[in-house]
Amino acid sequence: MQVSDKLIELLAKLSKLQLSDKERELYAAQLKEIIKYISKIKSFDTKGAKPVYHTNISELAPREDKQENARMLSKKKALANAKRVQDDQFVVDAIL
Amino acid sequence: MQNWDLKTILAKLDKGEISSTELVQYYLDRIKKTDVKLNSFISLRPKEEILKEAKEADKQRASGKVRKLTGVPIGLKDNFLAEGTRTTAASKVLDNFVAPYDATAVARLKNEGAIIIGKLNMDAWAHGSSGENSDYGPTRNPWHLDYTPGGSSSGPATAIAADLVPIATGTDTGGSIRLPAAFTGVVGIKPTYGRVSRYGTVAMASSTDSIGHFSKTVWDNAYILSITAGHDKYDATTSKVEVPPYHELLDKLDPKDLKVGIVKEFFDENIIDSVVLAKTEQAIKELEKKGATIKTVSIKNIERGLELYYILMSAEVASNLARYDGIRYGNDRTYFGQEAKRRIMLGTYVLSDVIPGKGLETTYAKVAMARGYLQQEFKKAFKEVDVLLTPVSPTLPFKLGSKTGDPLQMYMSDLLTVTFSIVGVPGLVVPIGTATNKENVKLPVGIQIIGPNFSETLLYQVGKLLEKPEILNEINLT
Repeated sequence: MQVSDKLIELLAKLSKLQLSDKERELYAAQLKEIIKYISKIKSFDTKGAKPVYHTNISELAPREDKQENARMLSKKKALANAKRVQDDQFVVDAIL
Repeated sequence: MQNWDLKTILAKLDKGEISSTELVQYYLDRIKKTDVKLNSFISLRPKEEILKEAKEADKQRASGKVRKLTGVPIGLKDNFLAEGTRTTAASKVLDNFVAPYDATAVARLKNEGAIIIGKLNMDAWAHGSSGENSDYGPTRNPWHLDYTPGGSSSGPATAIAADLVPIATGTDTGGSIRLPAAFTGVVGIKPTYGRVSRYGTVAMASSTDSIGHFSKTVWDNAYILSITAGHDKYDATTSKVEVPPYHELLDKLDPKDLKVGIVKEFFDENIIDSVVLAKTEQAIKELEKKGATIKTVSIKNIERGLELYYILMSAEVASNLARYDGIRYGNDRTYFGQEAKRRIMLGTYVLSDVIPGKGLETTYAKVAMARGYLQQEFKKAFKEVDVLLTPVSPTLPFKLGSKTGDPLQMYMSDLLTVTFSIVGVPGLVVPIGTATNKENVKLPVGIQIIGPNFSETLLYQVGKLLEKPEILNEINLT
């Protein structure tokens, strides 16, 4: 399969990554090889098998849908790692 | 004091033959002297704080208040959150991130009195098999500085082998504990998926991420797992299956009752280097001499685990790394390194890929079916045998820089570990000896012991029969 410039462009956009021209070229070549390798999966005969997404899901139990005070971060702690804070709030770029 | 294992340290602390202050000072001095070459730590905690905790531990011991790890120094892979410590996951995206709380595994170790020395190097985001994807420089193998210690837990494995801490934590998503354990000659466990809480660790591929430990001996490893394992209400995937005192059960196995399976597909000269194969076969013979029954088993398509793994892992990585936007913490997405970007791009491709003619059946859905198939195959195998024994890596440790230009070749290093991650079963790696490569460099060899879900007790018992921890005395760091 060909990994076109258009596909690399689309994947970068969906992934929210900015790539340099050099990276675009490198990833196009590398992804082509990796995708060829993993595409073998399509020939994997899975007849009779049931799908598995998590390995021992039968034992999982959801917790109660309640507010968990013990692990709630204080406002100060929650904001401590943010680069841009104003009036005790995270600052984001304007969207509109 | 060089190369004391945890069991020795605990006995000496108990008898008052050494203080925690002296112990901590020994490791800090040794780190200062040797880690310039090895680069196993990304951050060390302030010396005053460490010594203060050691003094406090000595006081507690003197007053008879002794917990399981009072005054014992430990190292954490840098993807474990420990309150107040810089936690980078070896990526510049998190260069200035200070953890606001403790991971559950860290909290459990701290509650038993452990003292955190620092945060250990790794492939950024745990993506890699050699430690070379770290944004803070590669870690070097203490057996020979030109060689990789394996990855992604490059720092933790090196720190144990080089005697910089007696115990370290690690994470294993596709082999990140087992490969470096084998490449440095130490003991490493990837427990059953859901055995140890992942709360407070940096997520990679959530359907296989597992927390485990590095140590010099099987006993040490069993002791630590008995502390960290068990249900945690903050990680819904953790199991309520009882946690036995693993370290107290090590001698309870009669080898004559043990049925060992040799996976036919993995004992192939076309896949495994002859030196690694020879060493592994020798270890199996020793086990047979002790009375174990050895049987060849076949697990159909086991070698195809690698293609499955790189599909589901990249898909889950792309999802998990989507949260790093630089708004609430860390730097923005322009700080991602090459490998993270490659995996995000691949995962995004996988998640949007449609198999022609099958409507919305994605590649990821196909992987889920293949995963179900492999799980059935493993269930069949464990009806015939108690454990499986395999090599850990197809090769001896390789030279730094030898695979960095070819990602697919690097991914192949995980061939013998990933399938077990996909199935979710536990794996223990123990050192079985050394071998000399073509360039006449002596390097360690490990063996991988695999069992059914929650068979850690049995894995440690078998590991105890096979381990050769004394090989660490052959390391010559001058």
